[in-house]
Amino acid sequence: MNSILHQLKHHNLVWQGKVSETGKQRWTSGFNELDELLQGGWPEHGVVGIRAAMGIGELRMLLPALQQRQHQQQRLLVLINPPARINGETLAALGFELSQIMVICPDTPDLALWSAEQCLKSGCCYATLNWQNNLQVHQIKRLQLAAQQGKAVQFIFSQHQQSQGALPLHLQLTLQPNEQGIEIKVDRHRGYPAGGLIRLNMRHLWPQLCRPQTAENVIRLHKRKAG
Amino acid sequence: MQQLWLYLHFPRLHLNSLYLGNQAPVVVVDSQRHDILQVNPEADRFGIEVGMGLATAALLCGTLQVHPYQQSSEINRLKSLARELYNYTSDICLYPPNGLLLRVSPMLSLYQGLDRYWQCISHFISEQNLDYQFATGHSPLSARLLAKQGWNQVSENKQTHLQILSNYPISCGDISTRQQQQLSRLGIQRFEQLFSLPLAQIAQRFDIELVNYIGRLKGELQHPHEFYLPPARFYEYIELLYEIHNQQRLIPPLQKLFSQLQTFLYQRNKVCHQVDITLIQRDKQALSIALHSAQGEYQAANWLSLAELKLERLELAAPVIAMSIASDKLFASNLSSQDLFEGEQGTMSPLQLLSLLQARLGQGAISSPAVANDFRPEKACIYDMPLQHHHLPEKLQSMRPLLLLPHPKPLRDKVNILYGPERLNSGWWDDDPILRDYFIAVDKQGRWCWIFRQANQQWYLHGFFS
Repeated sequence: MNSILHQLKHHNLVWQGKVSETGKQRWTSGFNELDELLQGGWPEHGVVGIRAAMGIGELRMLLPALQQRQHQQQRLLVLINPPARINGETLAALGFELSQIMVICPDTPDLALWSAEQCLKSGCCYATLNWQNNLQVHQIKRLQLAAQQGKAVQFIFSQHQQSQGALPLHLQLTLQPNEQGIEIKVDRHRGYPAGGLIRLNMRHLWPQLCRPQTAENVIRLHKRKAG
Repeated sequence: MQQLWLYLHFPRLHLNSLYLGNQAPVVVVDSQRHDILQVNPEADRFGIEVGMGLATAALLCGTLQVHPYQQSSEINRLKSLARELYNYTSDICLYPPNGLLLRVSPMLSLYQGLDRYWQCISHFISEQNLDYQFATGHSPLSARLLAKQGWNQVSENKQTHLQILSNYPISCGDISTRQQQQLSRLGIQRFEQLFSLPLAQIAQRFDIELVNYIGRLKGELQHPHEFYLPPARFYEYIELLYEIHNQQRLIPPLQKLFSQLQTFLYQRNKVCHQVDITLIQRDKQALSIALHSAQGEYQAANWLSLAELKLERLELAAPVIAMSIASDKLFASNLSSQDLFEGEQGTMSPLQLLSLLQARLGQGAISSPAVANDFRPEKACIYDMPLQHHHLPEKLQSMRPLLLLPHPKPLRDKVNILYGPERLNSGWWDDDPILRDYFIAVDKQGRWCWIFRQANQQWYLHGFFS
């Protein structure tokens, strides 16, 4: 191949339509709109970055897919350095098998990355969730290789809103809270154009965690002071 | 069954285990009496002999390199030899500081004869670049005596051993000087004469030590031995012949150590994730370097390239005089398989992964979420032993936040209550009762919070519906 073309392809600067080696198989996210946005669902293996403030529903977006996959594959789900205590009751109520979930709390960010890499490439985990900001390009690449070796997906939650455009992530999403649920924007999707945006409604799963919808025939009036 | 033993005597073990990079005359000297103990061939050419005084030797050769004798260094080398010999023969006994005793008789059926056995052993030792003397014997002590005298032959015949042994003077054996004098007064100079006396008569005239010695030498009395067991960890120490100032010059001796590590790991079908290098500096504290390999390595070349990277960044404050490498935790290798279409695939079991993680992070760092049978959320939400089945309570509360703060925090931000209340009044049976009204609320940043109000109208934040 032409060396310039080869170089461009190597740096992912050439868009090659829908022909991408890692984008063939997908697993459903459990939400039709999200599947459509992600061209069929979550990637079979790879590193997915999710930028979101903690607590807006970023984990709930993943839970149906993670639960379904745990039942299909009987492999482990690993959570590394969660920002607060993971509540087993919620997960058990959703149908998760708690003995197949592992929570790892390493002392340093380096050890957290090391654990993530070990879990990903071991082949006995289907996904690892990692809460970590400021990852470097070479760290992502190592995780990517490990994920490929172990057929697992690494989800990285970060709170920083600054652009990390150069990171070689398979998929990068930004989440914003929204009246109906959460707003999901695709910042980067390897092999596909970026920029898709949906509003995900999770009312059918968590009716209490939605703002009450006002009926169409109700007109809101401003409060008037009595008297 | 008749016993057969083989003794290997290494007269210049200290000298041989020094890292000899150049061909200079070197001697090993007793640090107290200043006698020469070991001489290399280059020094021998100058006429330097064992037993000579240091001053005489220095006169004979001006460029002589002198090393003080250290028994510990010989013993370490002996242990590492035993470790490698363990691949060829099962029963090894250490005779510190410079001898190894091998029990040959159980190995003969495996090797189909003494000749083949000796071929394997001698091939191994000659690869080690060691000077050695050897001999077989029908008892451990006879093999040792013959080897030290440099008989350098192997034989299965007991009579041959006794015949050769008979001709040696008794001063060759491990008999105390006082008893040697006593024996010589009786006109006994050789083992031949000693053997012709019945043991019972010797027992009448001499103490039990001599009787034991002769009985064991002839193979008539039992001689218990403690056999060598290979260690579970790897440790190797090497002393450098010259001081090294430059990091790049550290590579060749390190390579030697890593290749020993490789053999060690390869034979056990293990890999290690960490290797600790210790560089001992002159007049300075030893430098420790830890090399990590996330996937686990055994190959010397891979460890060496990692070490090179570390050494590049290293500043040597003082010259290095010795180095060692150690590896404590070994793991089973072959935990990934090569798939024709998919490439390398991980095939660890969950428990293997767990032990790997626990080895590096500690036992406490890994857990699985569990549910305790309690209505109080902070008591119901616990972490337990990883990967074990737990009993779940009959009824699970579904509207609980996924992320729970271990300790509720006072609510500071303004929130919008959307759902609730849910009253929890529990824990009256122990000293930690609660009376709380829980609400689901959204704060300004759109976060779904789980908040509660206590009876005293204080508001707290307890979790997030992430």
